[in-house]
Amino acid sequence: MLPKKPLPIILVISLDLLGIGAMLVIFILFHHVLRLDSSDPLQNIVFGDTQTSVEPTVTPAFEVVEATDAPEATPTISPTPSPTPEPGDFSATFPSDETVDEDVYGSYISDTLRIVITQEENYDAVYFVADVWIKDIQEFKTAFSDDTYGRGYASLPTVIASNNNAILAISGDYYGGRSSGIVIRNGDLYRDSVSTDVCILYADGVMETYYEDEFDIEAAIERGAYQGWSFGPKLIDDGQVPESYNTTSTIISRNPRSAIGYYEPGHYCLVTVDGRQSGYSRGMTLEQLSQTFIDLGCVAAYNLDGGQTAMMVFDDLIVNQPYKGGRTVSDIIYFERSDAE
Amino acid sequence: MRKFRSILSHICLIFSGVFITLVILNLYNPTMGFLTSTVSVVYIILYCLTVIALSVATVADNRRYAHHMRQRAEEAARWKKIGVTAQRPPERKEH
Repeated sequence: MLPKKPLPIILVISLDLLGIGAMLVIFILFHHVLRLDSSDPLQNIVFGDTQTSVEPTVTPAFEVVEATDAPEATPTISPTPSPTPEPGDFSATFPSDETVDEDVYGSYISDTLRIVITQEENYDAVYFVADVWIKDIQEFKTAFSDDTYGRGYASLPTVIASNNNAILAISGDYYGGRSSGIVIRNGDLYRDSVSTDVCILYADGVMETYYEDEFDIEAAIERGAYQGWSFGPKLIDDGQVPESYNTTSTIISRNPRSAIGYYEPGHYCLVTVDGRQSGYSRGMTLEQLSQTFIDLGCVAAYNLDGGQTAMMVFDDLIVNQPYKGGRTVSDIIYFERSDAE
Repeated sequence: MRKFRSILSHICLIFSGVFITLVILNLYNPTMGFLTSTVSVVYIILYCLTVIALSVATVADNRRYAHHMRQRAEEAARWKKIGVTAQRPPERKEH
């Protein structure tokens, strides 16, 4: 009996490639599409009721001003002192001045929230800075896609923002893309494994960034971690541009960016940089992003998920020009519009 | 056994292709956890099991082949001892 004739080599190679494709499809299915993990938090750190929000007492003065070519101005701040401020209550430093420069992209002022968005250009990149003042830490919110913690849940930032009545939102750290990394949202701990540099916003309004090896989750919980992100890297080290970044060269190079900066308790900034669009904006390297935050006057800053994810939404409209129109994300950082509106 | 080894070899090839793709993806976006996710870990375990099975099959096959070759050599030696003109030697009884 003659041995069986082997299959043609082209067919064998094709079948192997088909097998590789099938395995990758299964990988993508489990990694991105299927909804996995529990939606329950591991631990409540601060604020027993995560849905608690501060009710504004006065009707906000809302205005959106169209962008102009060269908006250089930053808002004038005149804090009103308060005798006994509680941790997380920033009434003492919340600016009472309601006047906003006319050159800004957009603004929103209420009794508890003050947002001023400006459009800037530097390093061949166009970026948007949202300067945010809050009166209470609970004004600083984060939201999951579908209001559910878990991998595989993703929606456009505009959809998540709209579902949460957000006046301002930016894409978060895309925690759903990974199976590890700190996830603390609105006072609840969802994931406690450290996989990269960490950013923690404490209930007293202080935001601190940590290198991967120096972060202690127990200490952060004890201190009252209110929000926690894992993407990174940390952008400011002792007021300076870090000598090196805890990430790969691909992340370090020019990219669209989404990042958060911290001035003082109750005063933050969100930055979205457009990129990968020649003739409009090339994006920023991490070094340029660090320098931008230092120039803004921030004492701490942290890089969130950028690239196609980077998106800023103001008043239900996309502020920046996301690469390829943006994409669905698993979480956002947002500030809620006043109910009185 | 040869068919079994052939199938295992192709599975190893497929897993290798998948991991090369994941390593390249990981270089571009390490924060997505392409190599550290649960699915990747499952793939790694399956890959290891396939490699173990293929290795065991290969070693067993090689040993069987070596044993067979030794038998043939012994048989050839016996033929040499008896002489080329002699008849075929009596069959060896397997133990």
